[in-house]
Amino acid sequence: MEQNRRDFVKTAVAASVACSFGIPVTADAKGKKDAMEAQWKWDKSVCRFCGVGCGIMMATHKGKVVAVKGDPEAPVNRGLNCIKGYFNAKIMYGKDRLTQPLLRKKDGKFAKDGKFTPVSWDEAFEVMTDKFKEYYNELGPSSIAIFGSGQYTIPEGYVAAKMMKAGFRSNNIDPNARHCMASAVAGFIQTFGIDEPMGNYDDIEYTDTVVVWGANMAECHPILWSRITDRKLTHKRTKIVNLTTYTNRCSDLADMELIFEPQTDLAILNYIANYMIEKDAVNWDFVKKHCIFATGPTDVGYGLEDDHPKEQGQKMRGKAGAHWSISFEEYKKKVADYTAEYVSKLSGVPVDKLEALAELYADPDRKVVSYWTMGFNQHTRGTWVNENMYAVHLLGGKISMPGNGPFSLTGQPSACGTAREVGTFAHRLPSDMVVKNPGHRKKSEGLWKIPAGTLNPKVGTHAVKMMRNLRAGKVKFFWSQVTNPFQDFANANEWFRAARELDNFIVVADCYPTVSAKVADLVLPAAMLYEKWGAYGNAERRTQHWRQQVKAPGEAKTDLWMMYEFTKRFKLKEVWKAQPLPGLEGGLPDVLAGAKEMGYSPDDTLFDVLFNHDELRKYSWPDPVANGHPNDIAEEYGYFVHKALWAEYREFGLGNGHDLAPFDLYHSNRGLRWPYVGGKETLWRYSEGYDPYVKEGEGFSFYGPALKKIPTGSLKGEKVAHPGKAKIFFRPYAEPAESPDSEYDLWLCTGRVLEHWHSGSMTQRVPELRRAVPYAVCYMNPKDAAKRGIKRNDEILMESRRGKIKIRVETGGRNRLPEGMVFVPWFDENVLINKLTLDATCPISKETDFKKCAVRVAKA
Amino acid sequence: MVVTGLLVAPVEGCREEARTRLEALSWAEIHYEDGEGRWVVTIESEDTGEAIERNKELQEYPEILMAEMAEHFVGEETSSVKEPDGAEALRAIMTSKRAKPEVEQ
Repeated sequence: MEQNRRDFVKTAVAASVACSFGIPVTADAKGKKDAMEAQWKWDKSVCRFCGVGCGIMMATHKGKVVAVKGDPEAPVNRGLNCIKGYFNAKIMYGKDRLTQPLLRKKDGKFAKDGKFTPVSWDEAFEVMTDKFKEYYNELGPSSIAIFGSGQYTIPEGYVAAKMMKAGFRSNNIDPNARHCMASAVAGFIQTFGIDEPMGNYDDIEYTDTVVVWGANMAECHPILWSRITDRKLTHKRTKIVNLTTYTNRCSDLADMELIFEPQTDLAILNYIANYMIEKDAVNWDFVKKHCIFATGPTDVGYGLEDDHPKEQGQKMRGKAGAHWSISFEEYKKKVADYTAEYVSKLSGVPVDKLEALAELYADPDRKVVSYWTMGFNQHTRGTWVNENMYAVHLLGGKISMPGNGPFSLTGQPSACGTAREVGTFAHRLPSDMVVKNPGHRKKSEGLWKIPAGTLNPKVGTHAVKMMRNLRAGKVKFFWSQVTNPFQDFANANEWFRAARELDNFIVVADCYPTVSAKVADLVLPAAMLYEKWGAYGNAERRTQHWRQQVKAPGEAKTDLWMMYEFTKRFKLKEVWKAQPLPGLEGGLPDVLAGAKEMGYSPDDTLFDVLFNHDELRKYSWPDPVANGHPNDIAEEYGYFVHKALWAEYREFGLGNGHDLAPFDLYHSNRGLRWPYVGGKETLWRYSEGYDPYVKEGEGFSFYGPALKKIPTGSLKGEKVAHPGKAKIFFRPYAEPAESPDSEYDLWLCTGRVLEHWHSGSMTQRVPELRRAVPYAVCYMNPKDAAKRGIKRNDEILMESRRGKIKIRVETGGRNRLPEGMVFVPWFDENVLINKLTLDATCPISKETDFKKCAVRVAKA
Repeated sequence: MVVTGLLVAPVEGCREEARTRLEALSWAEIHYEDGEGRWVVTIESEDTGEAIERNKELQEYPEILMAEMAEHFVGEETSSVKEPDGAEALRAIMTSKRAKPEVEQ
């Protein structure tokens, strides 16, 4: 009998896989597959983890998720899943799920030094509101902060941004995406005037060449790597190049591996530009019509604190993003310094490999896609290195066409869809708008139906500054949502002290007792992805929605619910009065009179004004689009919250290059790539025939509106507008913020492994993934280990100038390090590697460089 | 019992060697193949952890270019997930002790 059952299941599973990939099966096998799944209710959903945005099929039975598979209809992954993807269901069922609020209490009431005590939601909100008002009333909107996430669903991020910016009038909201792709954003905005990649994943199936720069795609974007593998298998001309600071799994497939010294990617890119000019490989027709040349100041610092020695004499720290146009001759002269010999010496890459790489970009008959992630973005010159990458593609005209383009991958599932497009950054509003721009504030105030002058014009605190301000006593109320900041931030010891030893109130909403939860004063139990409706936007501009599949356990609630309930506790007269704001003369104005003219009462709650008005409530529940799935939020608030919020949010992007589709449409397909215009998604932006915003006859148009009018020749030059043009930046090599020396003699690079995602709070609770990689190890070159008397599996003490940890050594395995460098993944809360890392940032993007600092190791 | 379905691609020119490899394994079975060099293979295992190990083993064979999990049947396993190591300890930290991260002085 067991034999029969086994054979039945094997036949059914094989038939299901074959059907997914269009491989013919017998009628008998298909019958077995159908019989096995007869009682399951399948629905499409989205993977919880990285930024690839794989579609998954999720089967529920009796209120539980019983099976997960890659969605064969999902264009991104075409039925495949990586090892983490298969465990999307299991991440919900860890036995230590947080199911009720926990508050630090002593003698029956809140105390900073109290013990965690289970409390009701009412008590949690009561204490949270009291603490918020205590600080807010004393110090104003700059004293409160939300640290959000690239894992927010789009509605959650939208509610958070609206609550903070329109409600509390504070721009102190910034996501963990600041640590992830802020450099890519700054590069896009400065170069093209609009955010996000022009191409899409289809480029893989069109290209001849894949060049990977600082991205271990084989482990961190495995499904895209499978597609690249398939391309190499089926297209003989395909070349794959892996540029990296250590040998990783991408090297196994690569035709060429270039190991370079940390930070010298800047120089290698300038060498390629120089090579293309010298070999007359510039696509002049493209460049003359569609590009200008530009550069900026170089004494911009490293985003370190004011008194750090590295910041002294850096006169343009406050104007790091300023730039001006230059002539081609000036550009040519600047890149001419980057000869093969000079760059080879600097980077450690042999001249013949540099030339072979440059020739791939210079060859007019070869299509090239360049991929990068954290190696570029987590970089003290992250914006610059992104811009140098664009320069190379623009010089060759290899951009915005099938198989040709630079592509910044993302690490989180909605870093694009939520953090960037919704605008949960300290300086942004939805659809690429910014708080500094009066026109953008006016438009946002109109769409949010709030009085003129409500929005705060001063940029809030970016992520790193948020922690520094917490330590300085300037931020007193800190609310973390959908992230684990106290494990994530570099120089972690500093922020532990700030949170635990100073007068402030730390709220952490999370699903599990993470490091951050342990640091908190109040822990709010959060629902997980498949316990709520939502939407994510992946790295190729694809927006995907899903339905709630199951109910959250115990008293766990969605982040959206938490914010809705919190706003019920504030009246307009408490938040829309005149407010002090450091750095803004006169502070924020009283807008209550304007509110009255709009029909609001000073005693109306923020909830009623922002989230419960008639325009939203007209979206009734139930709705046929639910197809029988639950919707706890809609049931509680009496309207279709997600559909209503989507309709409001969508208005921001219509007609300005960020067009999204109507809500229902996303539930009948596997995602759409914006701008969605005239019933069509846009595959390649800026390119005539693909992008509806490019007019007939233009060929290409880099129509992004931001930063198009810039000075000529120097910062003091005449400002000239360059509509429709992209900028080819010259950005020089700059030394790292910290390098190995005689005291701390090794580079430390941090990152991820295939089996765990980010801080491991979810994947560490999947027994199979935990067993596969139970703890973080330090990858080290065998010679470096031998020199220190260290053997594989030995425990070592690793120290930087900021902290120390104990960790086991791996001298082989998947990552093979060059001498002088170690690599440690950051998923393991028992090995808090961010105690050692340096909180230096790109001065433009404010993104931390987690890839380079100096450490020393010794046998423990 | 866990059955995992994989999409497998042998290295070009090594198809027969890859087939020999797979056929020698008691826990793997080739079910389908198409004209593009792709196979549908099932792996049988006691639990998903073993399935992962066996998937890795296939990926490491030099004759196999790609072996990607596409679906797996886990029976009742999903609804009876084992408690991860340390879960009780974490709960204890959260509920009965003063939680304070280790701070270096």
